[in-house]
Amino acid sequence: MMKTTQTASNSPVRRSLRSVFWRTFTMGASWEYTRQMATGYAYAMTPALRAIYKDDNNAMSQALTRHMQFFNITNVFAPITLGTSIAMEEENARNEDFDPALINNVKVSLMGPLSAVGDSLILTTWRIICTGLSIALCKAGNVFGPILFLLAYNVPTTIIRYFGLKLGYEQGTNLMQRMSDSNIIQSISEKASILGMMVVGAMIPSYVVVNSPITIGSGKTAMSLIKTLNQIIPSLLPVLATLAVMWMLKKKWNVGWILVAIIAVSILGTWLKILSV
Amino acid sequence: MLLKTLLIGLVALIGYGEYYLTGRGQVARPIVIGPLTGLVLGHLTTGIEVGAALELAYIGVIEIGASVPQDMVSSGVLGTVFAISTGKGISAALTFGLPLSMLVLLVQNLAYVFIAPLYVAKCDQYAREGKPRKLSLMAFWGGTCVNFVPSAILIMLAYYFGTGFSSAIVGFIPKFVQDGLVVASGLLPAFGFAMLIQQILRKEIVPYLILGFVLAAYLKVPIIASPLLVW
Repeated sequence: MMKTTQTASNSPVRRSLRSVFWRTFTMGASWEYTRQMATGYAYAMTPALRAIYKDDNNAMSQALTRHMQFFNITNVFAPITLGTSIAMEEENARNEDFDPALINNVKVSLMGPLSAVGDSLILTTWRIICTGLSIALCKAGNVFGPILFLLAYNVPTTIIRYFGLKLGYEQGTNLMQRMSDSNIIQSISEKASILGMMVVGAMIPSYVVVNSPITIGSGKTAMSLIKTLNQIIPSLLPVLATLAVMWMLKKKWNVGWILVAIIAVSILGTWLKILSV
Repeated sequence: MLLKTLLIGLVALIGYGEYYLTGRGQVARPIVIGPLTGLVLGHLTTGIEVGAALELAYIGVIEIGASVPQDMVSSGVLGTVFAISTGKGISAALTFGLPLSMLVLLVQNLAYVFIAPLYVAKCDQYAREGKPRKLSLMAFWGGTCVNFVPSAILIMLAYYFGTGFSSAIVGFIPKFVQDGLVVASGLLPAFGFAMLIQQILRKEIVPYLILGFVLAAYLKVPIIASPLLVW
């Protein structure tokens, strides 16, 4: 994009970005099954569309209808696509020859890759890292545990939101090209999933608890089964329990039934005096 | 009781703010909801502890795309409510929290499937007419009222009518079942971790899973220090 076509830093559209930014937090209100984030997307676009089309009712109606089409993305990355959509709507208003169908095409092409990264990187890996960071404090009943969790998760994601919107708006359609050229997202996502895996690995021995009242031998030489096992392989039982559930998931057991099975085994085991608190 | 019921409703609405207020800011997770519920009931510390235990059990539950596997908010709020009101901790959180949250999820899905299309149709109409202001209002308020307010009301009802009732039931539950549920609370994180591993597992990163485990289990390296160590 040429420098001359860039909008001034105090243009009404640029000023509307602030409202769009705030609306990315509330756009999830209208999520529903058939068109998912579509209504929320149109809702978040509204301040920018008003700045672009002003009183042109016909153009406004076309733009709103356009953004009511099916869409879904990891919420944290929605500002990036919103930014590109706004840049393209602006172009559409300025340029007679612009094909508005392009706006949704670009949106849809960003939807898949960004959601794939967003769901695994933000909603899964980053959240687990934040949980790992704060769970020890929470277990100890410390009020800073939950506060730490919220800050650790939300401060970086808010920064991503803010700069994502800016980046999307300033780069417009160039963004797609740039993203496929560089593999920066893949490399961050790879590093984060390694970090996430290590946190999960470290949490298993710390937070999966299996105890047994069974003793080996009798009288004075009796030894606790658990203590003996832990001397040979620490945390063997927590690992076996985790592997057992993974096996059930692999066999496509219903998640609800797995929960029921765990609770049933625990109660039965306690009754038979194999397991204990 | 009435004031507490209203405050419980407020906590539920904050939790559902996950979707309509915070852009998936993780406020629906038990790690946040437990402490808030505990605060309302005057047992902050218990709330934090129960929240942490529930968080570990549900750590693998993630809402991705269109799948809603569990209603986090109701299981967090009601789990903590019954853990505190019965004095039985996590075992009561599971006994009463789980089935009630299934019920809330059912109602929520009914609203999603049958009522949500109505406000979406209205938004379509405002879009055609080129009315951005009306569309915005309908999208936010229509969505919030249909998707989240009914669940919050159900949670309030469960709190109001369930507390006395649950204490009575707990009296009839044999000791070994109660102990068994505490044993289950130790095992449930295995379920959470297994779900997580299943979702992000790739062959190349298995060594890091094992490394994290070894550092914590053998060398007793604190959880957060271990990845930083390798970084």
